[in-house]
Amino acid sequence: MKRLGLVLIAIALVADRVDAQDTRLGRLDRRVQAEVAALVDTARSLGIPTEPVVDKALEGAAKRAPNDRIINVVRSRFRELVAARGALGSGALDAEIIAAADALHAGASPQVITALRTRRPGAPLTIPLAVLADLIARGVPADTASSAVLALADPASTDAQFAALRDDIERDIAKGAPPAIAAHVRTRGVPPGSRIPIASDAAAPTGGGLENASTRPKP
Amino acid sequence: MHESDEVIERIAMTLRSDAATVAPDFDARVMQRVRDESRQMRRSGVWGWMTRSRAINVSPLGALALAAGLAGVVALAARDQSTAPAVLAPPAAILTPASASAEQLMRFVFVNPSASSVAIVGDFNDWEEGGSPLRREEKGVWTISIPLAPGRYHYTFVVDGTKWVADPLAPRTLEDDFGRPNSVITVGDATT
Repeated sequence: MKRLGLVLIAIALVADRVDAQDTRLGRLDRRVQAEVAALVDTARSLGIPTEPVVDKALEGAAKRAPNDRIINVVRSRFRELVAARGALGSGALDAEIIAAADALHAGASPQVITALRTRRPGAPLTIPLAVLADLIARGVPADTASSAVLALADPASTDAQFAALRDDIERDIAKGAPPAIAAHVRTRGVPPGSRIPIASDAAAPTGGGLENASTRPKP
Repeated sequence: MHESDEVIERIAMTLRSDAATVAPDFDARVMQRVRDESRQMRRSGVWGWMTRSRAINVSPLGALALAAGLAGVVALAARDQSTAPAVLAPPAAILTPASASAEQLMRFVFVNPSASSVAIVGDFNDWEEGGSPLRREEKGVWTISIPLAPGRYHYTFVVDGTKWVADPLAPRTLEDDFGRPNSVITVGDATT
């Protein structure tokens, strides 16, 4: 009877191990595979989502990147996830951790992420963090983008409001507005009838829209 | 007169005498009965038809077959009871998201009239080339709809199996880790 119990335990351990093997890792070089598997185990023990680590490795393999490059990028991704988890605190959703890691990767500071959590306790942060990362990616300086997102962050603000802020700024940038100015203007509000300076206005004074906006009291 | 003529004449007389026994108001009574039946049907309608008692003749073999059929239906209903709700439920992708993990159907569009194939690769399909081919619509428009949970995803299009192209309609990542540009899509929670 005791022997049967040991056999059952052994079978359970083997089955668990087989289950833990991610078949997708088979697309990676053996060396990369071992590195990713180790990082995944560590991430799992830390309560960090493992998918972004695997995804980054698979992306590198799909893009035929050198193994060393894949390993470096995957390690960097892992560190960003750890930092994001630390900045968000306990109880963060996987999607929030991933979005926060993206924001850190873009150049946001961990302090901004913590401040966002503090200002919106219990409210989802995925979209605000994604907007932060998107704005920095579009060329808005990290400090300016952080201020813009934090200015909108309160428990009552909705995802749609953050998305609208990003869309407005991106639209202004697409029209030729310098990213920093577009973010400033949109954060402080645009008075009716005012113009946002765009590239074609280079010969004219470019501060018109910003001046109008900056003299407007903050809502 | 021949003998056969006499026989025929006798038969004819017999028939004439039977016809005389029908009452003179026979036709009127028959028609009145038909009218009463019709009026009753109109008054009671379907309910009357369904509740009117009828005699049913069933053989012992037929009764056994009917009983066996009923037992089979009951057994099948009991066996499928656990799976019935899942079968009847609509796909999650078209439901209104009810929680943070609810998926939303996201439609990707790429325009390239000269492409012979377009696929999408990204975090949502393990970057598997050819795993999610777009369908060609009119005028070189390629589309695909993918259910995504709330989150931020990196992706890119692969044109003709070799050329990696970022989505011109979406934001891009600030720096590309592997030398080829990605686009980004953020899926929000529809309830917030």
